[in-house]
Amino acid sequence: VDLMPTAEQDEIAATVRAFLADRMPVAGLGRQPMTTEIDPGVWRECADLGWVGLGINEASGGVGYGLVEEMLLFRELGRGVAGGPFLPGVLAAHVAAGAGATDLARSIVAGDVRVALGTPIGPPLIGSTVTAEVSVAHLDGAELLVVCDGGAAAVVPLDACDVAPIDAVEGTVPTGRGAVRGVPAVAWVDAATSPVLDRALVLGAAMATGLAAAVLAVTVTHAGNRVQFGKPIGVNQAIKHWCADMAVHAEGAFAQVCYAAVAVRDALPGAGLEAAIAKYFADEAARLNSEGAVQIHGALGYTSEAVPYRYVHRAHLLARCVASRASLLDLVVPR
Amino acid sequence: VDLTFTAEETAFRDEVREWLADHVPAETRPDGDGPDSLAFDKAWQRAQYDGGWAGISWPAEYGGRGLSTVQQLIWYEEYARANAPWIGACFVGINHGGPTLIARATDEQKAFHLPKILRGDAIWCQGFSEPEAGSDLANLRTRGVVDGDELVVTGQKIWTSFANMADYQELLLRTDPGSSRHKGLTWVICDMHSPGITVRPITTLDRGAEFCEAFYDEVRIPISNVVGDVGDGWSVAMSTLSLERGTGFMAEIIDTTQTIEDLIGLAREHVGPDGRRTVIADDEFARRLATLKAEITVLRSMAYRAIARNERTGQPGPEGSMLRLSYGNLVQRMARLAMEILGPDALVFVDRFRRDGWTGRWLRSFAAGLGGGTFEIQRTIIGERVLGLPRDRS
Repeated sequence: VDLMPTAEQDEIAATVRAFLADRMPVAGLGRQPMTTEIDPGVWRECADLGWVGLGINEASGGVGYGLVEEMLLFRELGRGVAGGPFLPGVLAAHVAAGAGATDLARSIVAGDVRVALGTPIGPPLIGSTVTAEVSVAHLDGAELLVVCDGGAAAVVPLDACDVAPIDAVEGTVPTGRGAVRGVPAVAWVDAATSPVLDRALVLGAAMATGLAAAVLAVTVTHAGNRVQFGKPIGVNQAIKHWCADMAVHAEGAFAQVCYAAVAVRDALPGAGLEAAIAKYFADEAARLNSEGAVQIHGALGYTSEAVPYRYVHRAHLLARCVASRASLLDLVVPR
Repeated sequence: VDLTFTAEETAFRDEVREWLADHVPAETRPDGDGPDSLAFDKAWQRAQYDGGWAGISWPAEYGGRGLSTVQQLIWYEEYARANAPWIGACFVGINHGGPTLIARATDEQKAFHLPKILRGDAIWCQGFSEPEAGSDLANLRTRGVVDGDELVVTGQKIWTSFANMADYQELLLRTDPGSSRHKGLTWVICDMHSPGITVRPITTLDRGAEFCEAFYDEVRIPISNVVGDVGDGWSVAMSTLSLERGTGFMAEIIDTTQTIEDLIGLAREHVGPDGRRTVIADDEFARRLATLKAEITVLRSMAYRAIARNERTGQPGPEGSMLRLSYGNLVQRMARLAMEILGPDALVFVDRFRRDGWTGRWLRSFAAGLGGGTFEIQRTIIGERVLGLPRDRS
């Protein structure tokens, strides 16, 4: 039992963090419209670095690490509010690899085929054909759609689905809404073969965890630098104690996502519950910390020129991906 | 990152589970923090010692088992699962008095005190707070004057749980009369049976009788009882407080994972607000229970991480305040929710040591925001020592 990452795992995370800070620094975007979610060249670089296939076995074109390393990668993606369809790509690659569709897995891992993430609204039917009402994220350039629930996960062609773009709150991630009506899957697996939902919960939680830590760091820096009444505002308990609560949220979220990642990786009893709790808590941490960041930044935090709003928007989207807050809580205490 | 238990650890868990099943006292801890509860606490500690379960991660040369902190954690998990009694009067000695000695005391001090603590022969209390030194601990004034090979102590301590039954005390003194704040303090082992000590119990809002204040009138303590050096008491006290705020109350943290299951059980049995269905059938109650269970699961993970962090750094750090804050908050929220689940039954006082003692636990839960440093002090520690925010010392 050891809930701290190893030196090698820390090293993977540090490499990812440095790359993202260099290629996709977090910034306020003002009124600048988004044209693409991620620069195609950068997406290609990320795929070449093995990010989509980090946890996929080498026979299917991946790097061969496990869920813990994927979790640490996604924590960095969340920390950097990174664009790019990483979560659906990784999930679809696992569906394909689990279903024995090696060529499909390879093309997803290589970044050649892009995938959108479908979050079911109401109970879906997922198997060799898929029927579901879905909320969809990462539509930009996607050819496939991945959906999962507690029983199974499937990948379907996006052009066979009826999905229309929406004007999304999180404007940097092209998002849509629609339905999948009896579309045959190009690949699918049941949860016993590959627990894709649990993986999605852990990786979604990891992104929210990274976001919660990043927005805390931005806020602590601001509280230490911003001077009012002749002192940094961070000397005041009203600010310091809010930051302390944010630190507890970030620490709790990371501790739980570490626990859940290991539990799912090792198929420990109760792993699904741990993953659901990780997702619920990390989403809350991301929301609460980004709200705190806006308040502590004052009027600056209300602008789209400073960074806090980027975290508010992204946390809002993350909490609505994979599974709803209410459905997660109903898993925690069944009635 | 790893959650697997070794074969040795798994065998250890089986052994613990079997022993607890056979030895956990069938009777409830007696009410009232009097001689009966003291006798109960000591007998239970002695039974654990005789069974080989006291001081699992304490050094073997002083009566402990010399095993890992993971095995200590396994013990706490099984202890909570077995619904074994609260540690009671043995709390201070086992959870931070003894561990402070292990970290900072001389071999002679350890050899004398640690086995007594483990056997339940010696009860310890804490002597840090004073009427004018609560959250502002460094303002303490109780003085110790060096006189030959003794310290002569005069002053007053307060909020000293179990001082009325304690044999020894973690006593923090000002030994340099010209000093202020964190300098010139000394951490000394005080024999509570010494002449010149008067203890007055202070009753609490949950009918507890363990809370006390202690008065010292020229009490003579051998200098050989000083832990660390004369004048270095603040650093020893910080060792104690890091334990008190962090891994020292791991048993209590792990116990919350059982308490929430008990509370969910109560909600499945108790009639809810509509007077017909059970509480759990009510959406609002069900979601609030789920939220609490989720947060308690997270607290468990934070505790696992704190243990791993301590293993790497060798000592508890300021991060322990994150555990203390989360723990206190959850204990209070669980207790308040219990009061709502009970409806009119919440009017009945039931002592917290009884299985259905929710009202007693609710009243006790106010202490969870105060003990070992208030919530506000924990937040300041997190802000300044974990996050590095600037201090205001104007």
